[in-house]
Amino acid sequence: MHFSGRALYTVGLLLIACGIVRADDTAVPETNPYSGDPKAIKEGKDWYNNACHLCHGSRANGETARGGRAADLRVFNRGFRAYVETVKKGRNTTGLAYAMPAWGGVLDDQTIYQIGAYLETLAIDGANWKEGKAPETQ
Amino acid sequence: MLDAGAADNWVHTNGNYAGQRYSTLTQVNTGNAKNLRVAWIYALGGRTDAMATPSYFDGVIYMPQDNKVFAIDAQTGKGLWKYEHKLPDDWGGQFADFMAGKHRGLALHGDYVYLLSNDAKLHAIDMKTGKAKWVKGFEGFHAPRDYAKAKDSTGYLCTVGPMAIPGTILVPMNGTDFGGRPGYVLGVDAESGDLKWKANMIPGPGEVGYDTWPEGSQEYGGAGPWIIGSYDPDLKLYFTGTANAYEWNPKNRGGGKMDNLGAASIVAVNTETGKVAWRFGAVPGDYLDFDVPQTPILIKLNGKTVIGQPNKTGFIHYLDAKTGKFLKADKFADKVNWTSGIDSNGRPMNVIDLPEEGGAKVEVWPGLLGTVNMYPNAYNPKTGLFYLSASHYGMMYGIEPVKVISNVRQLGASWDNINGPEIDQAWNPASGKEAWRIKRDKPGYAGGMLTTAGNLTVFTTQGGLFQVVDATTGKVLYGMELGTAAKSGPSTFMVNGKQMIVQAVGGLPGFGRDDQYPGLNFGSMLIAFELP
Repeated sequence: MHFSGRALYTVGLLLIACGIVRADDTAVPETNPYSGDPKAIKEGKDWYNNACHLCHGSRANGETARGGRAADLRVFNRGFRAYVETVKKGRNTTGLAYAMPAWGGVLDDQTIYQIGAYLETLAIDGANWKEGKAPETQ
Repeated sequence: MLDAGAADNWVHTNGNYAGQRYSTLTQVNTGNAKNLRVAWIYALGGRTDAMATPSYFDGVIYMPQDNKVFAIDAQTGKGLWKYEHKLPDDWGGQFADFMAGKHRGLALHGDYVYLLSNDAKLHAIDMKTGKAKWVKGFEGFHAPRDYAKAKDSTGYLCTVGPMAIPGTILVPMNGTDFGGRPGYVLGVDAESGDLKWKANMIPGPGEVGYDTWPEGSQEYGGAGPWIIGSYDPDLKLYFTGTANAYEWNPKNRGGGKMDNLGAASIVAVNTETGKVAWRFGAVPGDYLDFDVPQTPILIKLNGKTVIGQPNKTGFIHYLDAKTGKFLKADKFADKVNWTSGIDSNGRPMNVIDLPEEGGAKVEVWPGLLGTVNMYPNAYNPKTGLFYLSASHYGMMYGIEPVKVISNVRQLGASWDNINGPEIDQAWNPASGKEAWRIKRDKPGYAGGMLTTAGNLTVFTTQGGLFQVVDATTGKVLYGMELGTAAKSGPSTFMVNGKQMIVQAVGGLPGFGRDDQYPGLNFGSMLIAFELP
């Protein structure tokens, strides 16, 4: 029997909704269950342009009026799980006040996944959204 | 001390009441500027942009950074005391880190220096001891980190600075880009810290322009005064520019069809009563982030006291200071396509269509970074010229659906910059023509302008090049690579008989992209120049 990543994710959400497991206990899938889903990508784009683009730029290349040193997300290469962890926990820039805020508890998992699905559509050479094994370069 | 203008002392962030950043000092002049040298360097240890112009009185420099105030012996560059305010743990909202630590200046009044900390508190600090006499918060100007408490806003995150007039500290309340809380200017008793009055930038019921907003939209309408303004002691008026209306997507505030007066406007506040004397809407119903917060500079033009305000839009607006009546507008940007021009009433004509929500971006000139932005401009009464920290930016601009994150409505817009070169520009308001320009080969803005009766204009480029130029011709007289970008204008004053020029540096090189300036690093310093 084959379960798609999307189906497993849906089951996970149902378990959370039923109170059987807490969100913290839900494993982040290795790949994004919304990859390639046009509706999720559109929703992710809208969220990205509200929550993320101020720092990462509307092309996700880090070029922005406000962020200064935000990462170029087109070449994000640490895999989907690392993406989710970074979004939820935030990220510091050594010594400076510019830090990525922690979005865990602010954006829900589905929204974070939808944003990831949108970012995958912007990926260029060197990006990796599949596995979290690449060296940290962001 | 307050009405003396900039000479031996530099009391006001903008140099004088008029906001001109003009000093009457002449010891350093076009004949000897080439001999300038560094007198000392003082490290601020800042974690973010140094946006303040150093204040100076009676031998001591006062400088805010990261919710601290540094007092520095101007003769030696030695630190005298440091006042530090810790932001509350529950302060700030999701974007607080972007704002925290930035201040555009201090106010000096009597024996005290006044700091407006990022959490909207005013601190009266003894100039001699560095101890606070009082710290005041003001009802309604909170900025909780917990979105649930923030209701529909991240609250007030103040990056501007106060200004002193006799007996009163004028306190701009800004930070309105993250949730749209409406902008105010407070009048605070300099001695007691008690609130005297609260001037609303957005018209209230019964005021002219109240009906230019859909009912209820004013409460989160933006219009923050995020630059220190100017003051006319005869008219008893304080002048400020204001931010654009919130959200940037205008569908909740009239769809671009209603003027939203008070936002993207120039506002005059009567400092005796706290009543708004007049509001002039520079960009009615703005949906392009064309706020006009730049300091309205008071000048004499054809014998009248006139406000000249260079702003993001690519125009300098001229208004009668007493009445707010529009006089004219000069286009100083090389390329403008958001409007075909400004009509005789001051309204932009044929404004570019509102982009479709969620649709393709449209090309707009100037971009929302503006032809000038937060970096202060100057005016020299002797040359009759404005000196502009200008840039030739455009943008691709789109309107987005407004998402609500926790309780906070987001901007509802996105954009890409179209980078253009930094242009250090002199403009003649009498002729309406450019006097000179220095065009750089990289994008960005000079940190801010200073001009003097020694016929000098002084600034540091985005690329970290300290420049002293002939104010009449723009000829470079002295330059020094500082190795880091400036985000503020320099000040000048007399120290034991010698004129000193002090430039604060510190900030991210470039405007968004480090790779434009690979040779620069983050710095956080005051650098003092003097003649041998």
